[in-house]
Amino acid sequence: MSEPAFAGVEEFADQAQNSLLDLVDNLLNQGVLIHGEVVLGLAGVDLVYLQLSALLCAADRVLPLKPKR
Amino acid sequence: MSLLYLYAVIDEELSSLEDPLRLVRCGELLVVVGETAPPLTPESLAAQDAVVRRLSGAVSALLPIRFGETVRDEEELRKLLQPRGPALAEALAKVRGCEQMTLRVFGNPDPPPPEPAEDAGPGTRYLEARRREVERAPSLPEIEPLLDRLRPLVKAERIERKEQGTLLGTVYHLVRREDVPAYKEASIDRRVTLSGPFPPYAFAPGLDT
Repeated sequence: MSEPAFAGVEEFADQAQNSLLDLVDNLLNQGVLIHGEVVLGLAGVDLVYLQLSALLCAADRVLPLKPKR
Repeated sequence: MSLLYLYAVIDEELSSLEDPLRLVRCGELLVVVGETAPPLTPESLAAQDAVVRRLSGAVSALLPIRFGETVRDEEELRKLLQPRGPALAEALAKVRGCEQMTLRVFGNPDPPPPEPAEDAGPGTRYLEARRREVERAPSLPEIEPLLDRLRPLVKAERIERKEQGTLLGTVYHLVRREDVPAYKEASIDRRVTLSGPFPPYAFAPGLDT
């Protein structure tokens, strides 16, 4: 059995309702994606440009292996 | 440049809508749209969440749209939604009358299952390790008794195992509105934090639908 990491959770429950963590998780990680292209801006500057429909993968999975010396 | 900023998908008419929001009909579905894309700030996230919560309270089913989604005009919106109409209608039917509750699970991970026999080759050991990772990813056996206790109150469940420090993962539950008080009571456990009720953000279909 794991050791409990949090105590008094019952007091925490409702206070956490509007926490920034939940806002970020719910609004930025979840929700319907309409076309997979989202521009997020802060103070007029685009911070993140997500072309989610693009293929994202690690370079070492697509680049040819270097010949062994 | 004009654009439409997207808040939520619903499937029933609203008698009134707060200014400057309006509805765009896309077949059987309706999309709540605004005219301005907000900047990414905590205040904007809170404001959008507040709008979605108010909308969610006024209808029986709603799918929130991810923050930052815009389209050029109604024609583009209809074109993008048309192929996904059936999946969105199905998701709306699933979330009807329900709220999302979020459990974050803390503690030490249970030990992983035993390694395969040592006489297995390196390839077999690698594949076995990958298989165990994949099987373990969407589960939180550390709180299985709690999840068993909650499941009679749960219409749908999504588990994301993501070990970061003492955080083991997150459980998203879809709970009928009338069951939320009982769920809150039943979910009290020293290893989890509970937040919600929220509109069903985690039960909105992604791009793969």
